Amino acid sequence: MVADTLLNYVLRGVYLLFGVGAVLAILRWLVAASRERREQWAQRIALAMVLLALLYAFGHARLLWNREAIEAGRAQYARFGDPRLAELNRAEVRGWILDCSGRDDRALARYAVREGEVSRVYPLGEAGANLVGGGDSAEVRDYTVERLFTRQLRQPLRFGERGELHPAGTDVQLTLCQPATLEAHRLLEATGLQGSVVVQDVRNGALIAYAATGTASQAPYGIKRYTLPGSVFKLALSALWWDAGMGDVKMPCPSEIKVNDRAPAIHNFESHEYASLEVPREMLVVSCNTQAIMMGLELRQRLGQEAFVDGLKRMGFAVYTDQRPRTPLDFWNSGNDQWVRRMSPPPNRVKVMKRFNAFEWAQMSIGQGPVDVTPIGVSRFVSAIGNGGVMLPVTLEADRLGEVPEGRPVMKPGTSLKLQQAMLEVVQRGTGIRAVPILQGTGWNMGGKTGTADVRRGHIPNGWFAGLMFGPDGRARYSVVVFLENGGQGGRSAAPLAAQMTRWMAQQAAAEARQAAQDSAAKARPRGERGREADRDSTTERRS
Amino acid sequence: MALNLFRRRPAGAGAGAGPVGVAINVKAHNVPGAERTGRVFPGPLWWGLLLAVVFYVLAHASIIIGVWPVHGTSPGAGGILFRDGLALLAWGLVLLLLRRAHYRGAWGIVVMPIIVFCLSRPSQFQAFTDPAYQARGKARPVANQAKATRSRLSTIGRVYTPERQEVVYQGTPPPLPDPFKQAVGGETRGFFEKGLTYFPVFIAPLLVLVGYLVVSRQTWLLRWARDRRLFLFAPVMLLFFGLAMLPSARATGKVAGTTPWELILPFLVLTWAAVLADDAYNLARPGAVISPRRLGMLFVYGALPIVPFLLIHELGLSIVLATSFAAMLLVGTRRGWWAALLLVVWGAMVFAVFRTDERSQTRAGLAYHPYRELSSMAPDQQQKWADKVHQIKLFDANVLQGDWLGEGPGRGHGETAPNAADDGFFTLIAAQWGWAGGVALVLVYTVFLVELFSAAVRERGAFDRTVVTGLAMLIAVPFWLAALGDMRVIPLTGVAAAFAAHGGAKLLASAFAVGIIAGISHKRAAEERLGHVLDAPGERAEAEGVRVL
Repeated sequence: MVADTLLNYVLRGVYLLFGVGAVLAILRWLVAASRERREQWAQRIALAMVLLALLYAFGHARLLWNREAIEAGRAQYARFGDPRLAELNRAEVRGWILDCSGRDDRALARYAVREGEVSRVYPLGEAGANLVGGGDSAEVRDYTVERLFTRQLRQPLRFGERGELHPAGTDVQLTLCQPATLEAHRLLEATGLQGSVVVQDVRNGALIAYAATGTASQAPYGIKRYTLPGSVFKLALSALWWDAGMGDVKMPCPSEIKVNDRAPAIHNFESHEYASLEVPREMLVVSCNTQAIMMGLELRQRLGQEAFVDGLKRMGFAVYTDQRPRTPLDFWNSGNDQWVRRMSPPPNRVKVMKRFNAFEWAQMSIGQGPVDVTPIGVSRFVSAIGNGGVMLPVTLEADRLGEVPEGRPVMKPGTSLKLQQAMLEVVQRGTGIRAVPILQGTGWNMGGKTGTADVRRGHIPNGWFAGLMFGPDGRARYSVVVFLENGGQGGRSAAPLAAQMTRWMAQQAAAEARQAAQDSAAKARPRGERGREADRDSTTERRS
Repeated sequence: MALNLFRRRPAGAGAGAGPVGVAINVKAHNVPGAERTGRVFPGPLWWGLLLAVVFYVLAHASIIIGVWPVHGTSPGAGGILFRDGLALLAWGLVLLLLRRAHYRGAWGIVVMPIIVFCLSRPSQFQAFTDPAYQARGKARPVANQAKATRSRLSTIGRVYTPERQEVVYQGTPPPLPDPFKQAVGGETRGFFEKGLTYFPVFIAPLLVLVGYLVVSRQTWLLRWARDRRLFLFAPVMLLFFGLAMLPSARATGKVAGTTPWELILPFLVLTWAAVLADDAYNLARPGAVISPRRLGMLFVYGALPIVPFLLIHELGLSIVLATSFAAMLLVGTRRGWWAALLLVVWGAMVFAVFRTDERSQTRAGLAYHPYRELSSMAPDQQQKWADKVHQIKLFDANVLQGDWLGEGPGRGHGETAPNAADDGFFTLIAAQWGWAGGVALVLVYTVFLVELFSAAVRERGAFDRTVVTGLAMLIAVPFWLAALGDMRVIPLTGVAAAFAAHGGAKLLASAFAVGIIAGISHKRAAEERLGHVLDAPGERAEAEGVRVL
């Protein structure tokens, strides 16, 4: 209907033309009226008409300038009935929200017949309610793709649609994969705990799966919620150590440590102790708190506090003393300003006291002190480890994958390799060993760091696993971060869940590879042979 | 009788053709200042008219092609299209007949309303043929729902590939519903009610012609109205009071489902103009005004006509009449102190009304603070205020939907607002043509109003001048009340803009008023032409009010 659209534009142009013509006529009259010496009062009344026209123009524009206030007012009164909103919601055909495959049957938001009516449906259901949208009024909820990508989803599909009464909207394809997200949500739901599972492609920062508890009206749990990282922070500490060129050294791992006389002792988990371990690698494997504290203090002493802080900043941590840091807007690789404004997570942050406090410093070294992170923030950091130490922004829109920025080196490539190796060991023989049986037979490997963050006294601690999925070729492919509120020890709760996710990803990859092989084999076969095979199939079908 | 007026007269016959017995034949290109005589249709007006007619036809076509299949139509949509076609033909016929009758007045007076009509009518056409807008009461939400379902299905059918449609429907697509049939099943209005909606649109052009002929050819009628004003005033006021005292009028402001009040206004203006013309000299002197006889006269002819409007709570029309009378007084007496006094009285009246009258207070509240904080109200108050805000809420939605450049002909969903074709007409225009279109239409209308007041400027006789001013105000004031009210610059008063918005009686009364102004303008032009030809009675005599009849 390009002709109709063109006609629409032409007619709007004619309206403007009349406006211009009227302005010229009025100007001409004003010139003549200024010379007129006859009936002054009738002339003045006519002049008042022109002034009223200006008043109209201002009044109309004023309503447009106050758009936000008026829309807020309308929204407030919408519950008393708004036929326009009801009609538009029922009549409009927005674009679909497609998943990573771009297939219609896997769309995350689409249209389908429900109870005899064509309605907008969200096949992810609860799994996507927290990020994609869902329910009856997904479009008015704050933190969803459906809401924040409204402009794109309503953008007319093509030029011909611009003149239509109800233009069909444009699809938005996400990097999020429907099956992976459903699986992540299933695994998370099985725990019965609050939490979040985030899977990212380490090569390009694409968000592959995101599942979090919480309803659609709450801020996304895995993106906005601050929590203590626990021993996951030791990854950053180790990166600092290796980056500073402090090498692998043997250190004891006592069961507890007192950093000064007034401070209480800090213990290892279940008061384990080792005579000597090579730090940082073996410290990560057994997650030795006392060694991490000694490393933290040593780093401060050798590098100085400023260099230590600079190192943390390089790794994406916001370090502050008094004023809380602002949310940076470079987290997402997105072309949607609204999404960036609303959905940028608060930065991973570390508070450094004005006056040095050894106990605080020690707590920070084991991720228990003044350190706050978000699950998606940890996921980005772990992805950087898998990506040779280069941190990329997180991508959700598939069309932005072609425009992934170069990224920011947050650690040396050698450090990232050492960390990857240590993370593999954590799973193979360390705190994450419960994942091993789950991964057997998949051909894939998983490395990572477990974390157990103490909350309040008497409460079950939060469990973490921040890891990498390694493909059969031994290359890190995806990062996986599991956070379980009150999930207990990370190695017991979060690591097995991450392993199950890895197992599922491995199976999917194998199935896709098989399918691709079959497809390419079918293409490679001569046409005549395929015809004969099809005939044979149909004959068999008839016989049966 | 009327048809005889269009017959070509033999050369030399009748007044204005030159001295008796002398036939003058001057070729058109040799006549100096031919444009000024009014015979020539000015070029910009001609092109504007042509463009407006093309716009009218194409905008209707765009609605039929782009809106009807998507939303469905109301029954009688074809009849409305036919009516709109007839209306255009009627306007064309009026122009032809005016040419034929050697119209010499300002062409802008008769052409500008046609341009306004052509620019604004398609928006009404869309509203009137919309199935939900035409449904009544509880049927309306049902029709709205069916309309929306139909829209979605037709969009999917238009845009989606068969594969995607298969994903959506998983089988056979549901049938397209017919919204109006689903809601009410058929036309519910009777012949009389339907006729009142249908006929004024193409009767109005003919009333322009009637008004013109009455003034230009039957000059005794105006003279009689001026000299025997009480014979006109008394029956009109009796009728007016009689209608206003009817229970239905006092309850709803309507008589048998119609609002005939607008038709009375031109007659009241005529009698007030006669009063002013007779006594303009004394009314221009403060000392002379304060006499019992003159004050009584001012009250009877100037204030009493406003009373019935107050009885039926027609605040809008009372404002229209009061401002028209005030403007006439000003133009008739040419005294600035009258303007100052009127402004003071006017301001006090408005202040008093908005302080004491609850309905007016509500209207002011709706204009300036419609979205009150709900948490500050009790639940029953919330519901009451929400009911009142409903219309304003949808008018605002229209304005915001149109944004700066609008959505195009019939687009923008302006018809979802109640009374979008009359009370909220400018919001309908805003939804379809945006801020730019709304301002363009207002400017075009302003040119029309300027043309009307310019006709008053040209008049030298007090009676004609005040009549033209009063009639022009009858068209101008409702227009501004409606336009500024819709944009919440002033409270909504419920009056409609003539030639632009829907409104049967308003349209008829305004068309008649335009006809009268065109007739007066023609008479003035003819006199000026004769004056130049005979060089008599001379500038000075003319300034003193001496006229050639």
